Amino acid sequence: MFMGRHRRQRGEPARTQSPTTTLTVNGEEHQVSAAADATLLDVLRDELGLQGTKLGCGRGECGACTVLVDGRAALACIALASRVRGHVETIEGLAEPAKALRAAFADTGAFQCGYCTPGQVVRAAGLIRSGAVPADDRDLRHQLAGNICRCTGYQAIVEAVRTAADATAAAS
Amino acid sequence: MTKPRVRHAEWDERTSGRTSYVGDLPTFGVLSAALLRSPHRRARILKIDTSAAEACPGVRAVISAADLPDRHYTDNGTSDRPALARGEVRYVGHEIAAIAADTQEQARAAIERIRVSYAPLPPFPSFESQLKSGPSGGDECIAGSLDRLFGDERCFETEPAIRVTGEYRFGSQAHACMEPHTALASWNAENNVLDLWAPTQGTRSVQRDVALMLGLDADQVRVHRIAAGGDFGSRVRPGDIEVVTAALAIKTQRAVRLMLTRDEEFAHTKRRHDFVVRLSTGAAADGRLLTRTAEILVESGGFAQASVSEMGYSSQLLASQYRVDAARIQGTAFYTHRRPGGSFRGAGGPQAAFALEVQMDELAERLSIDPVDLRIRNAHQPGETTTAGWQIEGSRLTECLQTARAAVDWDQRRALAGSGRGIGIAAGTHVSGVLTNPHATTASATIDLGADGSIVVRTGAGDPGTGQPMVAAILVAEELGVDPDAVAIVYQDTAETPYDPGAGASKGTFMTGSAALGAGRLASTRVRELAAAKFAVLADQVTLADGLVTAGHDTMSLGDLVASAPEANDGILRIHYRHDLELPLLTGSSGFGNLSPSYGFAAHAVELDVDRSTGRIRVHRVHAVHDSGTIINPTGARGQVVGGVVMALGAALGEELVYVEDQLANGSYTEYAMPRAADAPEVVPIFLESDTGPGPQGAKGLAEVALAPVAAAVVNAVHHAVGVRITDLPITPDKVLAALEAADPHQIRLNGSRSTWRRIDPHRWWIHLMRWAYPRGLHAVLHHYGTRLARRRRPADRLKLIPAGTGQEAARRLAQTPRSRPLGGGSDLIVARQQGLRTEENLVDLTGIDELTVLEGTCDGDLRIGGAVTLEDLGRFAAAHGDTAIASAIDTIATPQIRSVATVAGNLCQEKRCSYFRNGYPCYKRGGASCPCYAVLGDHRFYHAALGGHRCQATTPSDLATVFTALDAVAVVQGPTTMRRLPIRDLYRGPGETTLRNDELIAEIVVPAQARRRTTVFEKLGLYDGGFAMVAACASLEVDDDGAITTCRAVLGGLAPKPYRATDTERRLIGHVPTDSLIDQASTSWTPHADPLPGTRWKLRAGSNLLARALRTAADQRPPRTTPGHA
Ligand code: FES
Ligand code: FES
Repeated sequence: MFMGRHRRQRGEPARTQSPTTTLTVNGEEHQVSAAADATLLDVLRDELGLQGTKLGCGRGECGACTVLVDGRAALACIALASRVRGHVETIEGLAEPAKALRAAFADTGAFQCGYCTPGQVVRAAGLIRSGAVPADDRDLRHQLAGNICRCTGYQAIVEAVRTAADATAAAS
Repeated sequence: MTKPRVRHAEWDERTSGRTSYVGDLPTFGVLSAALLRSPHRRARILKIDTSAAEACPGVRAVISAADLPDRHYTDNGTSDRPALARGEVRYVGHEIAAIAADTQEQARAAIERIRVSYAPLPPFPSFESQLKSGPSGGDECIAGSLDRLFGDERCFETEPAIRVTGEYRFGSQAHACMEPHTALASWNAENNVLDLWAPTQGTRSVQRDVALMLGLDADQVRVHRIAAGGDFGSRVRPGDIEVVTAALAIKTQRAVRLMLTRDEEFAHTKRRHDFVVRLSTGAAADGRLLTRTAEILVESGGFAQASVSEMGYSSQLLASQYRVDAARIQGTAFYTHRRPGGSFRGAGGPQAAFALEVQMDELAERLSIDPVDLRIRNAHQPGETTTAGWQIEGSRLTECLQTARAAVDWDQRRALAGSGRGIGIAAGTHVSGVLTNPHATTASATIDLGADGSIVVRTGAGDPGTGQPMVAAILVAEELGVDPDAVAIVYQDTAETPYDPGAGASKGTFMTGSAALGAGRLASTRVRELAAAKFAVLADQVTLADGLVTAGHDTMSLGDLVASAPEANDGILRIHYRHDLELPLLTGSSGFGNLSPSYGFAAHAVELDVDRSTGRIRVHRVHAVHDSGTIINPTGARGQVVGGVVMALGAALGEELVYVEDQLANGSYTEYAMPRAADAPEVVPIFLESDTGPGPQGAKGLAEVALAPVAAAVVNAVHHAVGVRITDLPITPDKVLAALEAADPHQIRLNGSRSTWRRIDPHRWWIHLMRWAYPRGLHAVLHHYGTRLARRRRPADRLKLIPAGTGQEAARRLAQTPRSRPLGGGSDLIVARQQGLRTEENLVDLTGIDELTVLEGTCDGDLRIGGAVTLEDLGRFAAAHGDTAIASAIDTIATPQIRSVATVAGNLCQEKRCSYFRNGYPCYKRGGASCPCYAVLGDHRFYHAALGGHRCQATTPSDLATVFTALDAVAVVQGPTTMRRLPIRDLYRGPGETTLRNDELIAEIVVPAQARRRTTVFEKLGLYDGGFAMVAACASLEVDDDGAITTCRAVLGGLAPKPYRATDTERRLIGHVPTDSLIDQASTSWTPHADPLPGTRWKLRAGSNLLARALRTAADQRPPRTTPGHA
């Protein structure tokens, strides 16, 4: 009979003779030894020690690894690090600027186990910052559909994003 | 009485990515582990030869069952599961051996070198065959059985006025925790202690079982505090990795980490058991329930795990949820060769509740009694004992039902049946703190009061999101008169906290809370005593507030008072409290007796819409009314209810683990249809609080009972909406359409080509011959023998990126470089490489090439779309320039994150989504002509063809292909030397397979101005927001001044191997003014060409209806806009 596939796991030591590439993460430039098939997630977590970005599926299906690249939400697990040209922002870089959003997450109960949360916060912070939070909750939910959460049932996440977006809009 | 909402103590860490999960622990010097899994469903292990593996580079240890004590996990009473297969493998994926090596790659490589000789054993009958033809296979394929009589047997002698009988199936659901299972262990030789980082809500059950399995004492295992990325029962006891990881750590004397991939997480961790309940209830004419018989059939998988205990709980619930004079419940849990199921939120309750609560509506209908009235009539009242012996101290089920009824305006809206919009109500009951074993009836908590004013509460509970430690902190804070955030929490770590039984069976709030409350009371009493002595007052004259202790005019800080306590040690006053439940344990096999100190009740009202055209169900709102006792942690309580409802909606509407050849076929988030944010409804939790019950301040567990009513309420609402009752979960669109068709004698059945296939058409003859032969042995021959000849794909090599400056240069590079392929956004190609579908290692990077990102309306009005334009950019452009069909199609594709990188060319060229092809089956397309198409006999309802399928039944997944076909788009194809124009209809030669040569790429798509001027509408039916099309339709119309159609394109996606142009439909419409009836007729006229598989026949109806809807919308949108936009 037959069995599934293999994929390389993260957490492996750096590959031999990897070329280096420049990556700008949270405002800082890094020389990273990215082999061509190293994903952005590998580099962020294993090389730069930025472990707030989570691995949920490694397949671009769940959103746990969401980061911003030039302000757009992107999935670090399927982005080849050596192809990333733009400015990468991770939860570590967004935690402070998105403090009000995170506090709203706490107030509404928008996280439980917390595993999807960094990805949710990054996605929502990107939307709020670009002023792209839809006025209608249905549309907002559609914009958040790339981040799966198994715990919360989403309602509190939507409430938190709405609260933080309204506060941002009122302040500006 | 509701307490104020407080923030989770760890909110800052958890929302900022600073919380550590096992995968975040330092890996320096940590060995990586990998598992060898059985390829067989059942076989004797003759020999395991690990010598070659041991000699592999980096390998530090190899273990198999021979290296472990011959023991079984205690699991939930039926103890049959060893840590590694011993003598026999029992299911596909069964763990046989494990390796620890310096790197993950080395461990995985060495796994391939373990040689195992097997002697295949005859498989047990499948669960389906057990259901169909009655139990067979003898005792060895039975994990457990029960036959219980509750109440007086003589009650069955009188025939009730009415009896309703039915079969209710609650399929197998995945926990799908967002954090894949991961464990880290290391052996501390100095203290002889195993340090284990294994996320769990049941720290002590993990500690106990790991120790047992390794021959250690429980206190030789320290379960450390580590965050858990979800549990839902999956980690309440050890799964299949903790013991193995620990054994490797002991053998190597090193730290070892074992981390499952997402594939493994779906395929090789426990799941909810597939339950079938055959239920028959007799009632008197006035609605009083009299007798009930039930047969519970459970699919255990390879081991029992919790199947037998969950079946037992189901049997008790069936006899307890409502008053009934007598109940006779029989049950069998069958071994199969699938991955064993295990504990899952609700523990067999949701399955029983589903059967009961759907049947209540059926009974009500037969009796012409309002379904809510019928429930109220039979609801238990406080102080009653159920037929199964549960002592219901407090029940507000009646109030729950009345509240739910009022919340949906039941009486008004119920009168409007059959409108497509439905409301349904169902109830649920669940234990709150079970009593079945001595480990479950005690919990302790410790409070450390510091001379510095600090307050620390210690509890052994875990917190996989359920927030028990928060409950403890809130209760302690209240007793000591401080804010909850003034109480620090130490939890989970078995070396630092006292005993806690864990949250399983809704014990969390009940037991952890009771212990914490008791400790808080003790602490407050002691503080008062100290103050009373100090201030020379009576203890009850002392008040505690804001960290100050006051009596009259005397005030002192808590810290100073503690410092003066004679028993304080190092400035710490430690208070310990042990909470014991003094109720008799339920023992013996009769199943009769009190199961829990209290019981939670709920009634949920669901509001939904059923789309009769597509079978799609949309739930708008769920009012979740709970008899909750006091809500201690409002944020947590709401979260448990909302999350529970959505998880249960997943099981009701889409989630279902599908096995073919006993291997999981849909183990990914793309294939396993879990609700996304846009699929989840509004959930309105309503708590009916009271503080009188035996829980802490009367609180009851919520997290499990929140699931119980949901699926039945959905079924009941669907029945109210469209008059059909579907009792086989999940209720996917195919089932709804089939039921609607069966219920409507006037509807013309769309069968496809049955009447015409006899025409001389070799293609059809061939297909029908194959389909005839598949179940008659052809599939088996191809599967068992043909696949041995399967072509072996070489594993994907390390990829190389090849840059290119222009499209032509890229094509040249493709021509020059063997094993090369163009790379766009990578959202499919990178994944397809992981899945072993694409093995080219030389990827020519197209994303930096300017000319491939052109996006403009030309002066002729054409739309030029570069191949490397992202879906997001195209979507925005199309919306701004009136190309609404393109915009709306893109809006349905995948997720915002994917759309921001995926390219137009990549979308058109993506691999087919057939789950057999994607998930490693050696199918016809993967393995070659000697291999079977697993879809023919497997589940093929959603992503396989109903028309034109040949040996492969897959479809082209691209929605853009559907739209572009309707828009007469042309692909501009760049080769190494020339460009050519290729109409989209000629782009495909098979499902997800293009006619492009290896050295060609799609440089541009051109949508002609003429087509842009037409009115074009796209419609799609997916299983979840962003899911692939099960069916899609695109209609593009031009109408003359008299309203007659002059040009028409009708294209169907997800229906055939390639986008299908329904030319018969087009012909019927051209020259006519489109009336509703004409559109309806025309929309089905393609169906005689179809040759559906049994499971894809529904697509003829769905496709026709979707096409009709697109045509109608397009016809209504006349007149078309005048000029296409420029940019
Ligand atoms: S881990 Fe990247 S999308 Fe799931
Ligand atoms: S909080 Fe657990 S997955 Fe979202």
